[in-house]
Amino acid sequence: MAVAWHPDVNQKAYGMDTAPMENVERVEFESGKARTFLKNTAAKKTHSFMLKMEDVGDNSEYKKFVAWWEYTLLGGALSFYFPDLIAHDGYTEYRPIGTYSATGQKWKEVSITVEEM
Amino acid sequence: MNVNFAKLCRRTGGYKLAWLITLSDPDDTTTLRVVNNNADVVFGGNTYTASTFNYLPGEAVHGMDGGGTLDIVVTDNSVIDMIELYRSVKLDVVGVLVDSTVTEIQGFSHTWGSVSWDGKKASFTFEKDEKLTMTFPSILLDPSINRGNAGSMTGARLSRGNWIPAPGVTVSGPIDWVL
Repeated sequence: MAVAWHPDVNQKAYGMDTAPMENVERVEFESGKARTFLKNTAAKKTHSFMLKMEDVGDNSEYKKFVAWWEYTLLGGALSFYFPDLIAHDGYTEYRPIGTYSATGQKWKEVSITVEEM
Repeated sequence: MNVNFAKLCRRTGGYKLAWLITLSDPDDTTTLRVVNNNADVVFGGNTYTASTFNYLPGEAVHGMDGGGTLDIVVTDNSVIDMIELYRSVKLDVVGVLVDSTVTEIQGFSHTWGSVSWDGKKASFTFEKDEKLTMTFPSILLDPSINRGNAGSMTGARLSRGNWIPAPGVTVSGPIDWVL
């Protein structure tokens, strides 16, 4: 199940790293030429990116993001819609891998890693 | 070897070997079609939804399906409803090769079995038809009971009344045949 991104949290992703997900199964014995075939028909990618959020006051952008992550995204158990990180056109469903991390005081730099659904 | 298997062996590996499973109640009131792939697969006019499960067919018995096991995720599908509502379920499985087209390789069908489930997955164990291992006729032949023996085939030892001594042989007392 996918949820919508929090309307009060920006979607300006930067510092993105992208990698294809492992999708090949390999058959190899003690000797001989290894053969490979697909694990899945669709090639999916993982993306890591950052978002800069203001964190001043009890109802800051960052605190809204934290509440959204915990109570709407259920800590990453669900997936969410986000502007397509490759095509930059339309929204695509992504699922978090692990948890987010944040650094900074007044301005938080939040790092998120996601996989394509 | 069928033509599909030969086709499979010649290919370079740019394909996915997938199981298409159809889980349904005996009356087909509730039907679940899923594939162990990250994208939906259309086959035979039906759409199999991308899901995750592990299916392992049992060894065939006399060319018939020999049971199998299915571990399937229970989130976001109707597996638990099916288990709780119906006394039995049917599992039809088609092994396919998926590339630009979907090619059927082999099919399996199961009905009898048991299932256990928790909050994450359901584990089905399908049994083979027990008639496949029956012995006909249900008579165990041994040196005393066999087609060449004068005794009956009912499992009893030779009774004295059915036995005729050879010429010149005198028999006295009860006979206890142990051959």
